Amino acid sequence: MPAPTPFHARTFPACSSLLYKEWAGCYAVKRYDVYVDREYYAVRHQATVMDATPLYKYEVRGQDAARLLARVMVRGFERFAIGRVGYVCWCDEHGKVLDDGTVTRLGDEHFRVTAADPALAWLERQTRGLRVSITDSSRTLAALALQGPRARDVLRALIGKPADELKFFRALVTRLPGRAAELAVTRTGYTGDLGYELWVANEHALALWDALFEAGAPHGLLPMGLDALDVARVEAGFLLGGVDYTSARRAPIERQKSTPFELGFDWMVELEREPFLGQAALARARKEGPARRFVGLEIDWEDFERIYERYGLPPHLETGTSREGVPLFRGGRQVGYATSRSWSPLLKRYLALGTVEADLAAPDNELEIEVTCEYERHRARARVTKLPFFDPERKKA
Amino acid sequence: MKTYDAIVVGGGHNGLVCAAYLAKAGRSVLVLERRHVLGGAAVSEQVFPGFTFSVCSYVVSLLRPWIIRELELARFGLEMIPLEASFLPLPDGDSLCRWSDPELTRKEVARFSPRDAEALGEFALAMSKMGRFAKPVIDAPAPDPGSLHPAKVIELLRLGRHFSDAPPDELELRLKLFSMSAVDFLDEWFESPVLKAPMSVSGIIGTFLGVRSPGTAYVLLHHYMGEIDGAFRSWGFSKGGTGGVSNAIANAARHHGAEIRTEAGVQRILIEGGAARGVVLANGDELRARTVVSGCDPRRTFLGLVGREHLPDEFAADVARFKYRGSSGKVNLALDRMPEFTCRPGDGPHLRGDIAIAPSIDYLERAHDEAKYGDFSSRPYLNVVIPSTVDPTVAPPGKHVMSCFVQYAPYHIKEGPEHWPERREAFGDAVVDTLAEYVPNIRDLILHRQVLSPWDLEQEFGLSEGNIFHGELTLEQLSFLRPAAGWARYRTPVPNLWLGGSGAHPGGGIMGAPGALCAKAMLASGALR
Amino acid sequence: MSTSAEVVVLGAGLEGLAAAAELARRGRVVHVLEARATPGGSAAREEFHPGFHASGLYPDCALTRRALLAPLDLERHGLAWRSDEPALLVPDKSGCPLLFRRDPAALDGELPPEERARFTALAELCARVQPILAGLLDEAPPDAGRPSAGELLALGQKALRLRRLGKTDMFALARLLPSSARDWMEDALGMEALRVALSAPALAGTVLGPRAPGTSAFVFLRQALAAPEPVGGPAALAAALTAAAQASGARLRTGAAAKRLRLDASGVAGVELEGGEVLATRSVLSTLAPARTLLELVPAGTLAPSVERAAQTFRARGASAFLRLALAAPPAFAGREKEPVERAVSATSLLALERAADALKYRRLPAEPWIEVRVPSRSDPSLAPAGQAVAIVACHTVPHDLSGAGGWNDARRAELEQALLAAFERLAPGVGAQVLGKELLTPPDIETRYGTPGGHLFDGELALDQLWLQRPSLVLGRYATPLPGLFLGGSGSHPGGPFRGGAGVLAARALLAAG
Repeated sequence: MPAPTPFHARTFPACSSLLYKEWAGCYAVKRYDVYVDREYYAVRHQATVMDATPLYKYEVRGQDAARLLARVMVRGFERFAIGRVGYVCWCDEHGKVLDDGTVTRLGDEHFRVTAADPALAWLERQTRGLRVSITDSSRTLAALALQGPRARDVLRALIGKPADELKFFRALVTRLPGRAAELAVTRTGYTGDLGYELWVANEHALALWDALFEAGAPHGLLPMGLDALDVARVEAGFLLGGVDYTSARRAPIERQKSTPFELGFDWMVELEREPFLGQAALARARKEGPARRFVGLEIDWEDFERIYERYGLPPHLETGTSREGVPLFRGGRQVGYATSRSWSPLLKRYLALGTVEADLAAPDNELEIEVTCEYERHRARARVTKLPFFDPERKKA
Repeated sequence: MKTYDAIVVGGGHNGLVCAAYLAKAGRSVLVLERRHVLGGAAVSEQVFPGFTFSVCSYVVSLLRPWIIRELELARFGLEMIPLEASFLPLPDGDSLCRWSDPELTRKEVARFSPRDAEALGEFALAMSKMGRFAKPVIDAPAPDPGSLHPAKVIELLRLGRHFSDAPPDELELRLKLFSMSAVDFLDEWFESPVLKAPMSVSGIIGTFLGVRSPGTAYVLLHHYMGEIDGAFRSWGFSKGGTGGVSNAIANAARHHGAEIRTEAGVQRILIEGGAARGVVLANGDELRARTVVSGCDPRRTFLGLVGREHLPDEFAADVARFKYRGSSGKVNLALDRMPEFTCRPGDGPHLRGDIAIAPSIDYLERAHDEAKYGDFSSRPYLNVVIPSTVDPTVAPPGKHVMSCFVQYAPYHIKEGPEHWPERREAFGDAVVDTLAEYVPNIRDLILHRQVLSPWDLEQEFGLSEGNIFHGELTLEQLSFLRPAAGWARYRTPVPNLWLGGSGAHPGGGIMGAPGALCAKAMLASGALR
Repeated sequence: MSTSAEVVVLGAGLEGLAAAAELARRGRVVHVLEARATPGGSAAREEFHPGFHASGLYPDCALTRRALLAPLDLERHGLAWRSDEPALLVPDKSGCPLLFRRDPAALDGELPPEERARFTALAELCARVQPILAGLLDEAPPDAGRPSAGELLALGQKALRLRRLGKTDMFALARLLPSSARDWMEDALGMEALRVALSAPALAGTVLGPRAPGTSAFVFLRQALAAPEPVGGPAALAAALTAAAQASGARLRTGAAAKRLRLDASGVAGVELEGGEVLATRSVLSTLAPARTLLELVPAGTLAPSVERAAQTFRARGASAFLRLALAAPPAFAGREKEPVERAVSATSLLALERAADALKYRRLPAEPWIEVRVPSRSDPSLAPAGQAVAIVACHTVPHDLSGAGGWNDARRAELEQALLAAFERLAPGVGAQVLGKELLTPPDIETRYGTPGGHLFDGELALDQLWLQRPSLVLGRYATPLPGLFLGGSGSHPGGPFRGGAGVLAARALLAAG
């Protein structure tokens, strides 16, 4: 049975749909309402709070903490300033991606790592010769994602002026108002919007929730579930481990594994530095260039509609994001697959994330995507599109 | 007098599988079973009124899915109920339950070691790769390295390639798996003794080895190869007890025209002109057949039913050397109500799987040491199931049957195996005393108790030295060496006599593969054309 | 200050010296670095009591790879080989101990005729397979993943030779090698003392009792491959290797411990010594234990996790302790008082061997240890003053990480010493009164003195999964490591263990072949 998170006492009564899923062994709300729209529009127009506690979190401490992370991650952390947050992936020794997450430098000798999969043993195994300790804070540290155009207003109401000064991918540590509790705030998120993530010890979780909603009431703050997040992250062009790629640790066969270059993480790989996991393999992979690439796609709505019209049906879209993989073609030959598909209510475009042969990965390449209607297979045009689909100025402002 | 195409000696599950395949191919087949029930060691019996026990073998894991399909066993009554959990009560009041849901298992394990919890997934992935590699080996006849026939040599080379064709890490794992001890192997993956102890025991079931004995690691695979209904990694109860499996096979055999007689013990295999011509029953009746298949173990078959005088010396020496050394016994309890474990009070899903009394590796080693020096373990490893929790047909309402597989109970106790009858109840007491450490009121619940020592298994079920697998499943008794070098393909040195029991490749457990592969070899050989 | 060498060999034990001698003979500029003050490593001659010397830690060198050492021409450097095989004394229930030699022809009068016939059959099987086994031991293991055509051919030839022995032999081997020593011995022989004579010495370096599957293989290897030893034992071999290496120009530096390897983009760049000196080199052949080389000398984070894991999981739980005794007179063995017995085993049955091995599982001192005694001064009088003797009492069931509060301490050491002396006393009554001096080396002592993790005699246990391709692991089994320029060649590499000299020479060849 999944375990409740420290916010359960608030999320459970709010979840009128009773739609939950299991996330890392915890109950996670899929959507609070039966329809996802209210939560989705709230994140794009007002502000939302999502319980992100199930994320795996690790506190890396000690004088060699930066060296450990540099050894494990595809980018270095020695010169990473206190208060910075980095998005990063890490690989096995064959240069295949294991997981992706964020690294926050909270102090000279203190980093916080988030991960989708458990990573304690993996991190510990790489600590030989280093003065470093790793604590698993996954189930002791509660996390909320405060996202949306009004997120800053909500946060300001909660912690005051520092909210205005916190820059994109930066962190600050403050106190929960009226309590001694330490509250870490990072200007990060998975929605591609203006947003923050808030980190607090479990015992203060409900106080944080209540304070946030008190602060957020004037701004239309709503709780948000995973379904709305899933649409938002597709618009933002964020890939999701387990959906858009398979961790090398879980892949039973080689072809299911990916290099960072295949996932579009080229920018984060820093090869010229002290030895790190997968370095040699990544150097080779960069030289050879990826055989396939992660891309954004826009499905031609006219084509899509036409397919349904033939049957006398209106076009059908799943609620939220469809995670069912479908093949992509070019000239009758399969050239890739789409792994996430979402109708973007905001952009009014039908979006997909997928993986295609590298030489077809450039924007504006015309491909075809398989569409199944009435148990019959059809193809609709799909154009490779630069990511992110949705990139508001407020995200970084 | 009728001459059958084949007479099958022994109505155990392998004999029945063999008969069913032969009958399905249109051959006239007669199965002869000494006891009043079919199934051999895969048998259900109402030992006490209202209480039906899987008297010997108690769970089904490796029954080959292709046999289930080809013999349409579901149509003939096979019903499997998956085991939900593997429960390990600990003496300190804690416990570990491994569930069929990996996420739940991960959480349980994380209480003892978060590292191990993290490693579980990787381990399972690695082992299922290994399982996929091992599967074709148990589903095909053993190789024949003694033959210089080009086809056999090519077969051997192909097997060599099958083994060596893998990335280095997988190759290393294969080599390790087939040479290491279960504990050494698990040490490379896990740190928590609470996890390692119950995992390691799968390496020793039915052998006279300890969890630290080299060569026990490969049996860990069985846990990742167990499949029922084609679903990987699931173990199950057969409805009505494991006899249900045998009955389904028997029904299939009868459906195809096989004749099956119980209480028809074979006294000897009839050898004329150096070849098997039929059998002589205990009552003196002579029955004739073009071929005879033995489902009995090699010792009973060759040294008992055939006789040394009909065997080539080298083969006779090999058969005599074949090791049995039964190491396990069985205690079957009829219970007045559901037992309650101190560490997890009350009824629950943890009791709907198997329950292991294997609290530490040292505990298992101490149990082994006692056996090495000729005594049953005073605190044995127990594998306990309570099938009545999921199958109401086996016990009266509210009452339960509890089956305890017990290791070690050496056949060769220091007093001599024939003294087992005097030691039997003390052995039963040791089992109940062990249980009582986890279920304090167990003694009050016991309505009836059946104790089977390896001596009893030999006397009652014809298992030489009480070995449940018809001979130890150690490396030197597997594959082309089972049961004797050069005679691993079901044929025997006695013309027309075939061996189709667990003493043939791929060995013991309710697998059905030896019987089925034997029948296929017979049909392919032209002996029954 | 910085000097440079073409090849740096780490460790001047037998393997390091053999590697250096081979490399130097083939014209390489070689520096050998040895942490201790004298060369020889665990084969060095050590004075443990004034006037009394031990020839190495473990005196046995019957399995030395003489064929591989032949090109080094050690005889020219003072090495002589014995012509005889010292008999092994094993107590027998008859009261008259067996004096065992592995050559059945040398057992006249020792065995009843039918037992002698049984042993002869066993010895002949071993002898028939000997050339194939020797071939396997004296060559580098093949590349398991991608064997070359030549390697496949060599393996094929061995398989064919095996096949030519006939089905009976081939099947006998297939059955016998994975089995337990006890099963083989009981199937093949009738006399318990003879079974013990074959089994006991073969268990040194394992953590197993004779009932453990696979122990037959070690008995088989010993019976098939044991050969006359060098005169003067391991120390004499070490001295000859030192002389040979130096004569070919190898530079030996003692008191020079490697601290870490210096690396650059193309691999090994040098060796940093304790004290800071750096020796520039592109090739390092380390004969230190795999874990020490890969986990201590190579900077952490350099090697892939799978390689580090291979080094970590290579099992090296030391299980041998040695009691070195200075004796006023050579021991007289009960029942064979008049004979100059050089080797003895105290166990009277396989069961006793098994019971003693149980102690290792629980990391306890064995209640009734069996001992392997060597009186090296019988054949090398230089080890002891005239008329006096040296005895080395080995016990192979002593755990490195003793359980119980505090682990090893003086009380436990005294307990072990007494148990060993008592066992010796039973073999040779009166020997206790002759003791002039003694030195006890437990596995932790061995670890400290010789720098072998776990204090293991052979840098890694003998076990079926730690031999040949898998010594120390599949990815490291061919001497080269994934770090360019770094080679392994100690006792933890194939053939390693008791097969002395082999790993050093084969590693040197692998290094030379790599260019």
